[in-house]
Amino acid sequence: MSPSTVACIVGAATSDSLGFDLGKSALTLQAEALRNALQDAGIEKHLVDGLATSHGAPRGVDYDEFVLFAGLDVQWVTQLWSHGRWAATTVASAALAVMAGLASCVAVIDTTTSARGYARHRGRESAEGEGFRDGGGGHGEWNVHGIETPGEATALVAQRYMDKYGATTDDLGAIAVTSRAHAQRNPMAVMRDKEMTLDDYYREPVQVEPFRRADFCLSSEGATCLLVTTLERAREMRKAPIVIAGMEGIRASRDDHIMFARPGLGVGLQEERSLNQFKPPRIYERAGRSRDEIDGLYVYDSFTSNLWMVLERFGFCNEGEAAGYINQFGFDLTSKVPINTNGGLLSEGFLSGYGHLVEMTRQLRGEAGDRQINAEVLQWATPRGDSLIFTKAA
Amino acid sequence: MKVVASPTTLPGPAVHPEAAPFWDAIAQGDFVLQRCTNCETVRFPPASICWRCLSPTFVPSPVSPRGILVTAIVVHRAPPGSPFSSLVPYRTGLFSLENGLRVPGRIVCDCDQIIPLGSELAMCHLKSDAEHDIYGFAHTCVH
Repeated sequence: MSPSTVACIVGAATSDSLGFDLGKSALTLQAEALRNALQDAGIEKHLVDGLATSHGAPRGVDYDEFVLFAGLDVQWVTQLWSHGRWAATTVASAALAVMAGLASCVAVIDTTTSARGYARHRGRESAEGEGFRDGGGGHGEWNVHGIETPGEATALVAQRYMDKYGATTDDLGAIAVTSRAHAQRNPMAVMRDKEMTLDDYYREPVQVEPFRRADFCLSSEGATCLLVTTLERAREMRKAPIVIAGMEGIRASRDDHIMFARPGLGVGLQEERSLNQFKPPRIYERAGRSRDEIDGLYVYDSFTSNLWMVLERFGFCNEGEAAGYINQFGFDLTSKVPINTNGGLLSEGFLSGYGHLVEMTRQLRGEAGDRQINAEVLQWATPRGDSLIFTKAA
Repeated sequence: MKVVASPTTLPGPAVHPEAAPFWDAIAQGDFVLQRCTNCETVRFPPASICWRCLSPTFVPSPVSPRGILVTAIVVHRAPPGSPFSSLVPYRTGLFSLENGLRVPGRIVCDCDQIIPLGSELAMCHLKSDAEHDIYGFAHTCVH
């Protein structure tokens, strides 16, 4: 294993299906994703010598259990935390591991399961209770004050944004509707057959103002696997390598405490401040690309309002202008910057962001079928500041 | 702050002895934060160290038990098994204190009147199912 300066993705896949209750264990789903990614890359299992995962048990599979059941023999491994926030960080960790020569091919693998599916069999053991921490939950949950879920906490983010800048529920609905339209063109999407108009959006009851059902991501299950190796090694493999051209980590500070708010909005315990008082994103200079070169944006859309936060945080528009930006430019396949062409967490399925990275790989390879966009440079970005830029290899 | 009865059993905080003085004060009707004796920062939530300078030394810092409503949501459907299920629809949100700090709190309200942002509400003491009680913000309709 020799060190390298460039890491890329040579295999990308999901479990055989995505859905609300697949009737399979997390182990089975994750094994499907591994098998499918190996097949996609055209490589044998023994070439995988590193593993990066985030969820672990009880909703996913711990790395040690997976190695045992999948018969892997790895020399480098990392497992982060049972949350959906780690997609960029696990990919970055895998990239750094292959660049440093700690491993030659790392499987970035993760499984997200649903309360309606696999988790039913696991009792109530889960990542509950963070809203009882002294500082509340990472999304802004405070159980004793009746903010018990990420959805309720993020409704507060959206409501604050609407109070402050005059955005409306029509603006939220537009995000849900476009995401759903993308899913109609994705044969793997959980909601591929469920058309939705803005009228349909309003027909669903309010869950927590201002959110209706379609403002929430799907509580579905499935697994993903991305195979990461060096560019040199990738050249010997079957598929065109997709280069991990830029990486940026999660920003964590008191101003970034609320998971799905951009800093300065004033929904956490910190005061309201202008967004331009915070450090700008570094992803573009690291990738050697400008924002104007981004052909498609992939956003962690656990809730519709996340798109507002990302568009502003990454400078696609000024603060307070994201709803207007979407009104003006849209984000469908013909828009200036298409967003979440897979349907995202809102309409493809809950894959903790890794599904977006699989979609970026497929788009850059030209394998996206009816939803193919002109893709040379694609960006992953979240409200909490982590980001990846993928490009075709030169 | 006045004690307000709740029609349902409310969940209480999980309190380590280090944070107990804050919650003990709630039961006495007071809202007492901590002021760092090294850098003067007043902090919320209660903690054993100052987030600004990491000093472990502090003195109690009582705050007027009133808050200005910054943003509120209305929960129409609580999650399965939630102790708040019987209270829906209820309002909860974020308040600004006299010192500018922001704290979360549920709005205790018996009427359907919209409470405008910027309204000042008094804190109230709510009984919980745990060793320590909690605070909320009472609309003027609550007696």
